[in-house]
Amino acid sequence: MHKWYQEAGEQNDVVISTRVRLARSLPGYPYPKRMNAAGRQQVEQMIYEAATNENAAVGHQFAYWRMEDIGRTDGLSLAERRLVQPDFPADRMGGLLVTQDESLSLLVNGEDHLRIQVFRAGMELESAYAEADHLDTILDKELHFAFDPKLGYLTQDPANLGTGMRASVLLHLPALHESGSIGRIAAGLAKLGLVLEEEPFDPSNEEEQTSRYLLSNRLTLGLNEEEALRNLKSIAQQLLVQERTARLSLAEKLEMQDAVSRALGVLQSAKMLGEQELPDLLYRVRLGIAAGLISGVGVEKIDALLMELQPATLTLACGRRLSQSQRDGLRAEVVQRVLG
Amino acid sequence: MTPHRQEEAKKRVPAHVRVVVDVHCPVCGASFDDIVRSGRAGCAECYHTFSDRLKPVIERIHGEAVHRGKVPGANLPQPRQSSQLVVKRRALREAIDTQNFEYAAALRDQIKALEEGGGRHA
Repeated sequence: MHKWYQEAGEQNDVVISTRVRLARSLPGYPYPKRMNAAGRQQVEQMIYEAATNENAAVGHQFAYWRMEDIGRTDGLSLAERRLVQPDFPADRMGGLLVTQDESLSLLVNGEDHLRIQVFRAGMELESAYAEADHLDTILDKELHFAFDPKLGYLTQDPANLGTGMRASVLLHLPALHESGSIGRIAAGLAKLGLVLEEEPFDPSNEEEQTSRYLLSNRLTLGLNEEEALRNLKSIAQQLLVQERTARLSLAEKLEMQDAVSRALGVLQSAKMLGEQELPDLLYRVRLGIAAGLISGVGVEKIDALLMELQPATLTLACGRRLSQSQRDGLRAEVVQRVLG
Repeated sequence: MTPHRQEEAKKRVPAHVRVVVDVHCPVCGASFDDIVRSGRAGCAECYHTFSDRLKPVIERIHGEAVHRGKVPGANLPQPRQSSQLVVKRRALREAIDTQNFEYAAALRDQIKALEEGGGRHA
């Protein structure tokens, strides 16, 4: 089963992935936080029908998950694959429609009645937005999303009013992190309505050092979608250049080469790999590949490993319950199949 | 306060101010207090029900900005209303040219109604 995160994306030496999300609501229904079960059912039904049987124009097949019915491991895996926030399955109130490669999904009755969500590997802001926009236009014909000429799309959180769009790129910035310039860069970007913040692979692990940063737009009211995307892309491209330049000097440092070699060494010879230690190791190897110190494997293989070796996702792929040490052993086997 | 004094006090407060205290959104039942406390609107209609009181809240987040992005339904074939407007405007010009002012007045009313009643409501 081919997934979006297995693709070799544009500029993926630095840009891990792109995400565009649109927040929409249905007029006449309370927002999810105030809605009762009957209301939620109706909203879910309407969105489901607009996206599936009724609508050949949609052009996609969706798998459908109801959070009320989903099993614990399936729910955890959806969160691991970044399709939903971790508390979404636990709240047991929403639904998720998702395409087979998981690049396009509809979140129902989460933070808003509907969130359209598109993922791409690498830097793909225009095409990700185009896909989200296209689906939005089609669904709007059936669902008539709540809209005001001055306030734009009406969302549960006033902070999302207007375009209802959050576009973001996930960046790997180990060299800029090492040089200590991220703080200064982030402060400068805030004035442009862009946010650059740490985005750890596993937020529960405080020791994590993967140098992952999320660059996203925060302005939704007062500028149009194209302008917001242009700003985001322009800043992302500047960061790309800065990171690549900084990597040139970083790659010459013996300490860095040593860190990369050690990480590769552990990954290639360990008999067990724990879920907490894996991201640091794999991100060091990712840098090594991008900087030309390691050859024979593309960074997209690293990104795919990271996704697939998460505990619930690994368990599902295996088709049966595994103990901690069985998982850790399996993880080592899979990594060695890829990294040799 | 005695009931009599309450009544007297009430009469001194302008009617439109008195009513504000117990407004609830007709769709979801939220009060302005609910919205402020949760930081979330109760439903899309809340943005109309409480538009005056939400204005400073929205301005604190977005400044004085107004929506300049996508408008739903803009790419789709124009609704029939638009062609009605075009026809009526042309008829209005003709009516004025031919000094048929009663007819012109009637057309002006119809045009006004189409312009105000058209477009999207939340």
